[in-house]
Amino acid sequence: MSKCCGSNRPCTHVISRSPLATGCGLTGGGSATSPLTAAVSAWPYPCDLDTHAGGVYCDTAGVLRSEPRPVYDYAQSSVNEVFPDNPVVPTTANSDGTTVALRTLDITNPDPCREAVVLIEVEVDVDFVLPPGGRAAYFIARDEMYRVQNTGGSTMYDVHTQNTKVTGNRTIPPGGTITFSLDIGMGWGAGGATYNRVQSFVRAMIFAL
Amino acid sequence: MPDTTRYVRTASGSVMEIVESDPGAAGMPEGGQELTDEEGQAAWAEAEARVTAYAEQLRAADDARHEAAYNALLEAGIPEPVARDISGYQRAPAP
Repeated sequence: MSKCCGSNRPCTHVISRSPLATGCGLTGGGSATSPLTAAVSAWPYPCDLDTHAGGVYCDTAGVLRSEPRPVYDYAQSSVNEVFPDNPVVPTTANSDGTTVALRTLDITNPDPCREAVVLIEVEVDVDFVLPPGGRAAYFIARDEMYRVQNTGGSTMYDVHTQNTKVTGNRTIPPGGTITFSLDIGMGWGAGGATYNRVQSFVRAMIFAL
Repeated sequence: MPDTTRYVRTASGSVMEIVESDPGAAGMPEGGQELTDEEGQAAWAEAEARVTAYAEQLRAADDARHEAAYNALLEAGIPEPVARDISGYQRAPAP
């Protein structure tokens, strides 16, 4: 009986000298002149491979894996708020206005692995009632978006226009949730101007790529 | 997941109809009170009615002011079409 590995135990394995069979992703015969090699494409990008290439990993089942798959999500809320008391538009005469409503939206990163970027778009519409001489303005995130004055002799009812603003470009930690807050303000009130409705949208587009 | 709708009465008395992609994601305004759908729709209708009533009150005041100006102009000898134009009084003249 042959012996191997310098012991007296019988050999239980032999080293094959025949070429190794290779499947998808591997080439070569395992010899010095034809080493077993991963079959790869040439790096086609102008950036540096060592700095920018993604990794390859082995999972618990012994399967090769790449970087996490890109994920995205979309979240939105809309609020239609009616004010039965027909409040008077604040007289605040500056570039910030007076906050009259806050809207929030909880936004969750669907990726448990990586930070996500979220782009947030908001829309606001306010209905004003303007007696003769009445004036009103509304603000999105402390930015005056709309001002109107009645220079005629009759009341103007439910004067409104819907404005939009992309106001958020934020990040969310892996699997985390942030609360976005939208400040809706008013100002430049005069002449008995009132408001009776504030409508808003908050739309969040979330990407982890 | 389809959007969900809920109603809230705020501390100041306004009524909100909130539509969300994720239930509860828009939070609750400070001091707000969650309403059932039935309560919310009733509160909504009542709030709309009060807004409409206020507008009608203003409209009536406008009409009264315009009519007074119209009559004053007529009494001052201003021709009727001109008085109507200047005053903004819109009521059709009696046949």
